[in-house]
Amino acid sequence: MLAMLFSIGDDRYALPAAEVFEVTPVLKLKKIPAVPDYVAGLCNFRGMSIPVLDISALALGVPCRLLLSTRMIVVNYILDSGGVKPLGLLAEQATQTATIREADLQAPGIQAESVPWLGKVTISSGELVQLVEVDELLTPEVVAMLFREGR
Amino acid sequence: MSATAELHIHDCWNRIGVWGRETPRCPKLVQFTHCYNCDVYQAAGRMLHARALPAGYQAEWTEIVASRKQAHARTGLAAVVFRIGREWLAVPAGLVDEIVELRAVHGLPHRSSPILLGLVNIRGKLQLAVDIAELLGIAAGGGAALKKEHRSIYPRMLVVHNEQHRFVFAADEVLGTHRYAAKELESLPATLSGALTKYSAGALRLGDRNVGLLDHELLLYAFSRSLA
Repeated sequence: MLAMLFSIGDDRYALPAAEVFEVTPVLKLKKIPAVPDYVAGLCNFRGMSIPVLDISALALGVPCRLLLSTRMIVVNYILDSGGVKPLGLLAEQATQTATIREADLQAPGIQAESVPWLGKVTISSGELVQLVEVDELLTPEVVAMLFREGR
Repeated sequence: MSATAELHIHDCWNRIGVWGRETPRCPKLVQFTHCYNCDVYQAAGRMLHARALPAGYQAEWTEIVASRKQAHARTGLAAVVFRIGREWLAVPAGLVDEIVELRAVHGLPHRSSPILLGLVNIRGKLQLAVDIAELLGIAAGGGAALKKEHRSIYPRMLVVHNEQHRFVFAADEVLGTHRYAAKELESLPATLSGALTKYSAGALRLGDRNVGLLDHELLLYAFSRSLA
């Protein structure tokens, strides 16, 4: 499985490349008032307004640094209704891909209930890499807020 | 603080790597052959991204990503461009199975056609080798005339097919696949004559080169006739 690597703090994480729609530099975002801090804002992505999450802010409470290596990873978020919505994820050091063998994936052993989106771990080029489960990133309340349809 | 002052790059590739002459040589070269393949070089390359955004970068990209992606024209045609002697020629890309290095042609006894050269081993299967230069009446070779362009020239063999047969012919050089729109194809002057004109479907302009697109049906038919 090809995976897109990125960093949260000093640690490496990965998203399956199959879920990645496009990777872009950090864009100018329209802020949204009264949303959790990790909702970075809205951006105009190919003529669509899409919500953007800051994955560092979500995990550590510290927003991504504004560097060339920080990028927006656009993923397809699958809604419970079956619909698919693009979702931007700001992540640091999103400059590399790696091939991860499914057989090498191990259960992490630790699972905090507050971060259900952290998946299995593997070792890629000597580094521990943890998979991120896109579909677990958002709580139902946030999904309802970001992807309210027909209004 | 300037962007460059933040970076401390140890350019070992310029000293003990492929761009340097210092000895002893980097021990990693044995494993990686070229610095391009080395993790040290790659990590240094990625450091270039660990810089602040240049002025205007974010605004420029915001504009680019806001616009719809340019859909690539799906109506385009593709041709494989090669050289026989001094003539640049092309065949439709769909006709070409593969392009291989030049290899030995084993002659056939009692062959009557000057076009059919013999058999050639392509991936363990014997295929028919034909002489396209003879068919088109072009003198092959001619590399000397192109030497002044100062580039490496490698002769190749092209494997082409139609429904019935597969043929292999040698080209003095293969340029690669060229995409073009149907309207770019220019017709040949009606006053031209000769074998090459007979097999041409039109002309394409590729930079300063005039490329003759071959009529693949006629070409393959001529190759097949050499079997009779």
